Amino acid sequence: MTLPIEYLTTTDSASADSLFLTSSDLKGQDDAELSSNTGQELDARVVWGFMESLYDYFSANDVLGMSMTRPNPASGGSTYLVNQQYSFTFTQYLDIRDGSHGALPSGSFGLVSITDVFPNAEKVSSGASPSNSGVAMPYSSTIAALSSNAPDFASLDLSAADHRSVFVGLAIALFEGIDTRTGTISSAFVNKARNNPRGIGIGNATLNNSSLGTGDRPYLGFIQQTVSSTLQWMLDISNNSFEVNVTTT
Amino acid sequence: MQLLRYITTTETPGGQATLSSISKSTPIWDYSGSESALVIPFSDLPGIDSAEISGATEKEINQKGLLAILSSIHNELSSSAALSVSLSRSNVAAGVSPSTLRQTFSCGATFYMHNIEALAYLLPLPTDNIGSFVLADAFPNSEVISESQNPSAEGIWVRTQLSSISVDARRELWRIFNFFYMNLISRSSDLSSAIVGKPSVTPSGVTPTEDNVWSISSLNENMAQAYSFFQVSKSINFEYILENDGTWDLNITTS
Repeated sequence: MTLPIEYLTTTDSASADSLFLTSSDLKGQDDAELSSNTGQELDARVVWGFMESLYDYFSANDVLGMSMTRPNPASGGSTYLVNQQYSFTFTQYLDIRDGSHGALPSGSFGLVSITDVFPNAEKVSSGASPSNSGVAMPYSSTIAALSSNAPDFASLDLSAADHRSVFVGLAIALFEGIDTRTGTISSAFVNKARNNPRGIGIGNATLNNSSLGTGDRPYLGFIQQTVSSTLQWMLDISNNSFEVNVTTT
Repeated sequence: MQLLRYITTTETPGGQATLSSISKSTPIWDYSGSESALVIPFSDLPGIDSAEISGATEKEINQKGLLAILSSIHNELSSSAALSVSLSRSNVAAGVSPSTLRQTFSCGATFYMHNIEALAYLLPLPTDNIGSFVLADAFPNSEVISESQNPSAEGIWVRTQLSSISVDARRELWRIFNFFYMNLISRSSDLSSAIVGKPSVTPSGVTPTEDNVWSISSLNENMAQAYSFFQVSKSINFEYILENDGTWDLNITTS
């Protein structure tokens, strides 16, 4: 199974209401690469660009209840192969009084909007065309379906200050949608892992940055989950570039 | 210290006095009267080009130039092994900091010492020349020019004892690798470099057999008692950095 993404130019129309990311906003990728690849080749490049752009932002900014790690690259076990892991961790609260849950509500600290990470992102309705070339991710069936607090497509406002719930949906959709490499499936992903959600304690120093009232805190539990995937690159010595290595085991 | 130098088609090696004077006075670089320069054009050098090297510092030219030279030679020798001398490229190794990787090039040689002459040599090629390595194999567009000549294409140059790119260059490979091995600066807190280690192994004796000496070289087995065999290897460990635009480069920095 490949991701439900589609590559669109300004003359193509989206087949579903989509969150659209411009090629130039996906680090390490460009139109030429994204337009000329399909299937696993396209998936690997989109996820790579997404992770790298997200990491670029998260490593420089504090986001409440969300973090990314990108450990040192590892050997892929041959002369030119490199394995790089990306991990995305998010924390949600659970209110035992009414069962409501979601990203830590924030006052003004630790917000992140889609356009903070992808400045040229846009909403593209089914049948409409984007104003740049890039990739469209069907919104309702993936992002909104996987993150209960994400707004529906009609209410998604890209000028809003906080889209942490959208990032959760997007990260899980990409994680669940990719195939890892097997003997019969070609993929650049050599591994993916998802830990069991775990309860964690959150100190008042962090909670004071949220808008959770002190009176509510005794009734709240916090759950943290990490999804990680490991992408394999091949170094090209002819031009000092590197590219995803899509192959079978 | 300049080990490699950028040259255009309107310059001559002799006109670039710095390398000329340093190299000639350096005892480890013995020319035996030769004044030739091996000029390798960018078309034969993977990963570097005129735009990157023409404005590069001495250190960048040395290190990036060497990596390109070793890449080309390694490509050639991995498809067509040379007798008595080898160049290997390790698997990339995990980085010790974010976005970095390390890789080691090792040059190995099997020598025989002529006990009467008390000098060491690479194994001589057999009569069918199997196991030869000439510079033209790795650098088809390179040329050997005199100090006063202009190269026909821009590139980088290094001193050579060879008269052309079509003569046996196995000994020259060992010499050039060791020239860099000795002179390249390893990274320290004061000195920036992409060279993070220069491992060496103690030379070890080799017992000559049909397979490793007599049937693959033109050495005469009847003279076995006149020879002593040994092998030696020198390595240079480079650090690369991966950029998030999908390119990588040598990571020239301090520790």
